[in-house]
Amino acid sequence: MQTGAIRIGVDTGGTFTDLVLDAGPGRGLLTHKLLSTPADPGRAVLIGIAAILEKLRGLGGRTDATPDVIHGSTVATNALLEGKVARAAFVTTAGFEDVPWIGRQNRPRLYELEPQKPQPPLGRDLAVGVPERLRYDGVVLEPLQPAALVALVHRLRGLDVDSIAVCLLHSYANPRHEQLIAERLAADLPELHMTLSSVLLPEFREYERASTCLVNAAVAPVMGRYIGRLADELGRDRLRVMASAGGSLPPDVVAREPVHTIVSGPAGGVVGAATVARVTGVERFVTLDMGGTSTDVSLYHGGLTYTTEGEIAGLPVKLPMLDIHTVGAGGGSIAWIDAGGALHVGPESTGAEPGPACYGRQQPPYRATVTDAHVVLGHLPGATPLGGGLVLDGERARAAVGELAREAGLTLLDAAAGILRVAEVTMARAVQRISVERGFDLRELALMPFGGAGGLHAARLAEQLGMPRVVVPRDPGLLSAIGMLAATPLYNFSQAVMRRIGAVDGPALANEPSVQAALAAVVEKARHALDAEGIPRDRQIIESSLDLRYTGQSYEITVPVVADPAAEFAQRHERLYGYRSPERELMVVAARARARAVPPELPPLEIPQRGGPLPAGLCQRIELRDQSGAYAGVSVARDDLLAGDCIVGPAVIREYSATTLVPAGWYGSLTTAGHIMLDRLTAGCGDE
Amino acid sequence: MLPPADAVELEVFKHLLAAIAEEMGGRLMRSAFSPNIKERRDFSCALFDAGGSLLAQAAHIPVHLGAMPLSVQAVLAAFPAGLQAAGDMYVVNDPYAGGTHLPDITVVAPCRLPGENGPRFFVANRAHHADIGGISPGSMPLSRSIDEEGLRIAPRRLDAATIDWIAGASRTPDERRGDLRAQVAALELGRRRIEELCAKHGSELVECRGRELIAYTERLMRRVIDSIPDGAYVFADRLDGDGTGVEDIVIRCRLAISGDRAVVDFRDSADQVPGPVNAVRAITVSAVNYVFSCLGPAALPSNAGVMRPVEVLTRPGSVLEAQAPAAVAAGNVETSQRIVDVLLGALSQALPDVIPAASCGSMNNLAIGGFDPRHDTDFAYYETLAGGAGAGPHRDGLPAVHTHMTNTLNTPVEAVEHAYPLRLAEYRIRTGSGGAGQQRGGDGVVRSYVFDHVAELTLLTERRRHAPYGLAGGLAGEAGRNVLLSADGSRRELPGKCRIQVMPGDRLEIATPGGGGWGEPKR
Repeated sequence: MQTGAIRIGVDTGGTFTDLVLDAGPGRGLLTHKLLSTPADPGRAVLIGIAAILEKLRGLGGRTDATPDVIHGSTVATNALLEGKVARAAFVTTAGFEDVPWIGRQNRPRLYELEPQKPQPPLGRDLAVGVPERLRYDGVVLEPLQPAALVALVHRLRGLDVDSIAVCLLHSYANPRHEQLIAERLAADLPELHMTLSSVLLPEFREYERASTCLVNAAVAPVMGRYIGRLADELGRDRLRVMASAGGSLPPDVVAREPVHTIVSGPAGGVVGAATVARVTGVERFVTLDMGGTSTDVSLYHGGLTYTTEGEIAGLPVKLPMLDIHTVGAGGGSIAWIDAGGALHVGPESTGAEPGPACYGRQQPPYRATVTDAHVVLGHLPGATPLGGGLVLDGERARAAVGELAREAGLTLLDAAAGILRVAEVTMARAVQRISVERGFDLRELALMPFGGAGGLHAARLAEQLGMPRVVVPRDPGLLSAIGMLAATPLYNFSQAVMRRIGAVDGPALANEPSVQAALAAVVEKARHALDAEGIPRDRQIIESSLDLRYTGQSYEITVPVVADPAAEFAQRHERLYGYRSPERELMVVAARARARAVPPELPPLEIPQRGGPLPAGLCQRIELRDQSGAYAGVSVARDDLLAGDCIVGPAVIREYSATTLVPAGWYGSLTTAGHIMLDRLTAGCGDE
Repeated sequence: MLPPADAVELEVFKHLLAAIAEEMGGRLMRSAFSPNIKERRDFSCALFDAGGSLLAQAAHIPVHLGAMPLSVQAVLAAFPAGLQAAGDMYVVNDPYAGGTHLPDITVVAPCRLPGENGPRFFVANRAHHADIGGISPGSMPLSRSIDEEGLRIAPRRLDAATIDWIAGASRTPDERRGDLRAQVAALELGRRRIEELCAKHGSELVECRGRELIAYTERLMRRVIDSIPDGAYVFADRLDGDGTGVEDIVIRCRLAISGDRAVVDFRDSADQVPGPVNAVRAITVSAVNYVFSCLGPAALPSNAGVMRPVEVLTRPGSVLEAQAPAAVAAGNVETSQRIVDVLLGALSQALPDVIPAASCGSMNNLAIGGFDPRHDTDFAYYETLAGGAGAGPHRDGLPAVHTHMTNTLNTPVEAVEHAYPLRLAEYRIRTGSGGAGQQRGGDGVVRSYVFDHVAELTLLTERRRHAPYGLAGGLAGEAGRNVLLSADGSRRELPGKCRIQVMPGDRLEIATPGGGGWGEPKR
């Protein structure tokens, strides 16, 4: 990747495609937003790039160099959710062809007369068994015969597939049989896309490994075509794609392993939040990305946090990705009263079309949403234009919430406040899941809202959860695209070890030969991946870790390879589960390496200091409401604020892409980097 | 006087209480030791009021959840509030004193809030322990009396000595200690969460909201029952046998619907039998609770309100209200499924466009014990196998899925082979085993095991003789089969319930039942 050129982050969302352009030192960031083109997402990407370059030209910038583009793509995710996947075959050990359909034999919902469960992205007729068998330690029990390979090629020709996933039992312990298949297919069916489980995910547990490989195989041809076209237009060495692990990948890797992009967009938001952490010094926080139908939360704790328990369309994907938890409460979530008299919010949403009642596009009977409740309470003033030229219709919002209030026997204001309370209890639960349940204390974590509506709930949630502070980043509606600008090459590699380590002294653990061999192998792969990207060694960061558990357990904890990994494991086990068992043997389940490049500096934004109180003329007096009635507040435009400006709640801070609510008892202040800090009004902001 | 909950308060407290149960579940699952809990998730967590009524539960294992209130009530009876010390926890597994079968060990923690004299809430969890002694490894024996099934724990205080005592009775004491420790850790967390909730909202308000949530669920259930046509509906089915020679054990249900009330009368079911398929009353109630929960709306909070409009009648000394010292190991896992089949059969007459055909109807229990020379230790392993779901009026039955009273996960093939001295020769869907119909029943599975060493096996399986029924003209699913192929080439059809010894090279094939079909098959 070359530096010094113009860099553009492009985030394709369900409704909008967001672009952010880094014009180089001293020029700051340019932004652009346009409607997405779901039938051909690449069209909006190309139109948007042309438009933002035009903006740059308008400001007198040079645009003759080809820009570097980092793209957050929903192509892989949407292909799976909509079932528009390639025809892929599943090749496995004979006798185990049905593993993807059996899954873990459970059903997602307990009390269902006609249960359903997520289905793999292929028909059962596309599963092919190969006679071969390995033992758990990789010893060959039944060799893979040349005749079986001939039969396999013949069978795959007959199935007429574009892609295959090969996942043999215990291949993580010995990849030889998978390699034999790969060599033969490369020779006889060279046009076939191949996913080998011993390459993509050499870890134990056959269903999760197979599922990860099948997801990859099913979307690879689709992603390959999409990214190929974009690379042709933008330049193969200029395009990169945002990956679920929070880094960026080149087009050829994404075409081969598109499974790395299933949470591409949300990952951009979290990486964007990390850039805010760098400039604000707030190093521990929870992100709250509220969209139209759902809210994503994740934990940042001095660094990004990862999970290997991700899923897409109900199918497990065991590759490391940012630990982002999603709940079905967003601005468009519909409020309704059930037969027992309780008020629910979601999971049904009005989506972007027709949108909340206040968008004015619903047909009666109107359905009240979270956004409508904000309008009724004055948080989103009616008759003020939002992003995209939309003007909110306060009458429609009151009609919709009023209808719900009558049904529930509540006042209009109680109903509106109630909708927010119920939505927030769902969001609060999500925040707790990724923090408290992982052993972190909310009193030590800030909340960082983004997306258009996150700022409306953040201070209220922080109050409810006992979180000390809220950081509303600059351009909260564009943070995902900003994160893409900040993303650097990042690769994860793992290798199963499955070795019991006796009650050794801790430091010896990483020196055990089998552990050392596995660590050396993954680090070598990691180094190689960055070398291949042309990243100089002094810009490479390689972190290795071990998945450990007490022998007999089946959940692993990933522990960095520090001086004493065993002690580190015991400490984390205690934080997560409340106890440790020093007398037990440890098991090293897998070795991991993560490789990334040192991130680029984003151009700092220096907002001038005002050096005096906020002029009263910038504050508009508005009427806000809660259950007990109307109260006075102020409304300010974020663009009017200078560094050090302080807004005491109750107040609303408006901007193009988002709105922030400062409740009574809180105040907001703008930092020199343009971020808003919301804090509790204890001593009063004038005293600082 | 506390303000009554409005529409918003109900929903908010529903989430707050359920979150505590879920968080306990997450902690137990991740920190437990045996594959039974971590890998298969054979455990449940719940929250109760001072009287032992269920307030909230995490969606875990249905057969546990309906029966756990009786464990809490048994603890309360044995240790009235005045006898409880702060911080105490209690343990129980005795089916005749609040349990269901011996491997399911329940730990109950009273939550006494600062400044209060007795507990205002309880948290509890139940986990299936892989071995609790008795005549067979895995403690799912083909027994003739409870005394052969393992260690019986009447409610008692859980202290270090009790943990040693329980561990000492097990073939795998280390695992027992680890699992019990995880159960305790999860309850400590639950107790802390309740304290935090009460500190924030006031304990009386939280208690009041709990009561209101029960009333809310009751309202929803009454509406559901009210929508069922009034009348009496009778249905009967049979268990294959008890494994000791008694066959065709009849389970009969007479369901009477009158307005918003239901009476489920099982008193005409067979007398208790010598083999281990007897169910204590807690299991019968649990199965009825499950069926009514399925009839309710999707977001129905699972609490004591589900059963308020429902009366369950059983006869002491019958197979559905067994008396000591009847053997009960399989009542929890097999008979519970048949109770569901029979009640759904009766309901299908009232709600023909709602109720599906019979599902697999067995948890297909396999317990394996022996010596593992790789690690120089004894081992005991237990697993249950999925079957086909019954087809319904709207869609085909799912293949290869656990239905009704269980939802435990399988143990991955690669995990089994790492942990135990045996191999799996195949694991596949049993194509064609679902019953034909306008909608097809789901297919069962075939799982085959090859043994490298001598081992002892106990099979407790059902629907090997009486297949899962079809409905509305749909055909029955195929019955299950258990076959042993010996190293010498001989092939032996095994009975549904048996205890055998296998030799190196032997292969056991278990084929689980398919679900019944729904509607006339197309020609």
